[in-house]
Amino acid sequence: MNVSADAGALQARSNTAASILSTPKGQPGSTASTPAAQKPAGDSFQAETRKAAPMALDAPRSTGGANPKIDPDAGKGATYQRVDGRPFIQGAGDASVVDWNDIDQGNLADCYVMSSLGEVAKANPQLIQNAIKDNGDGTYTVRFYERQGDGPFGWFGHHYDPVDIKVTPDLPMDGSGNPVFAGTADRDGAQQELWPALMEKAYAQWKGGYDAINHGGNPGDIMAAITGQDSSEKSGKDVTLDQLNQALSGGQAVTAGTFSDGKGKDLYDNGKLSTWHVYMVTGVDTSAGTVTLRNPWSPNLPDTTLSITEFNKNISYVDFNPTR
Amino acid sequence: MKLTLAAALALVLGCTRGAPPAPAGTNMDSNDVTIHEGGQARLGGGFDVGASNFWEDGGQLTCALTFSSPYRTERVRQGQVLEHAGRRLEVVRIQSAGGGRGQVVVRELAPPGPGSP
Repeated sequence: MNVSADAGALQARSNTAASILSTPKGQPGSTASTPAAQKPAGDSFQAETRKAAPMALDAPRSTGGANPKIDPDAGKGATYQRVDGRPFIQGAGDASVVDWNDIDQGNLADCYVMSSLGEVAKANPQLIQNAIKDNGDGTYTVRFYERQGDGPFGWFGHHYDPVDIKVTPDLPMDGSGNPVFAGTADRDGAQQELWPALMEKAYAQWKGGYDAINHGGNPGDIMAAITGQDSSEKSGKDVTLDQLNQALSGGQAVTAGTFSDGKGKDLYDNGKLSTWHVYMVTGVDTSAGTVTLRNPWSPNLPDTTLSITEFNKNISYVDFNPTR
Repeated sequence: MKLTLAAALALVLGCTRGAPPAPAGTNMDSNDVTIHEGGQARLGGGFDVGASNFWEDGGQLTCALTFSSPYRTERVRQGQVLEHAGRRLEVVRIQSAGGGRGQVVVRELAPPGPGSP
């Protein structure tokens, strides 16, 4: 466990970048792209490109339809089962139908995905609502954004193209009928809230399976894939309370990544922080000089409040995304 | 002679490429659950367990298990049995998962019956 945090972050970033670059276009069995002008009425999606595009773009690339491969370790014994539900249900304590209280990570080691979803949900819940379209035939189409156009040395800038992924509400479930990966937090009678699980499934489908997203990644890359906006990253030791406060009050999504080796650091020794984990940054108290973090494992876990000094000492990297 | 050497080489390669044997005393059970570092297992009935903070302590790889309901976090070793919220959990194995990360294999045991020690 002696890999440095920076090396871990770089490896994660490298893996994510590689997986994006290697995503083939027009995969066999993928749904054919629909030109924007021919899209059916009522389609909430638009052919769009975030950031200035250097060239004309086609309609969103579409893929999906098949269930992504279940990770054999994290999803041991799980099988796909249809879940009775709908994307959004406002539960007790939720500020809106999309809320970071809905995040419940489950067995997959994809805290970087779940914390990113929770942060975007907090900062811009409408964006999450817009990202999931009910196709009316028992399927949903989830929109992500893929970074494109990075030329040599970044000479030509880049942009984000929409990628639409079609998924069913069949989720990996255990023998008791409970989801093994992202949870279905809120319920309305028998109906379960699906948005975190649908977005996780769509992301897994895009990247090649649940096993492909089970071993860490960079939250900045995921937030960019959700919002179509560039993320930025700072070393945890350099972040100030004012920067965090301004980011949160300005509607940004903010995640905090921990070190990969916490031995000898008090907050890891006593279990207050978990190594190699990504937390949601849920609040800043400028008068008390504290930052509050939420663990994506479960909304039932107590939040962790750190002084900014503790934050600087124990947080490896912080990612920001403007979300709009 | 050449054939003998080739056969020996093939045997060596075959052995080294095989999966490493499980440590003694840690036979896999079909109910064993692997939790990757930074991940969490739902064991049913709201019994969720997260795994993190893998490092060597006293010459042995250890990790922290975090229970969400009620909240509790505890550093554990291989072979340890924990009781939490009326459930019993055995730490079957703690090991490296490659890439600098760890993983822990846990097994839920039958709850202690009345009159058991």
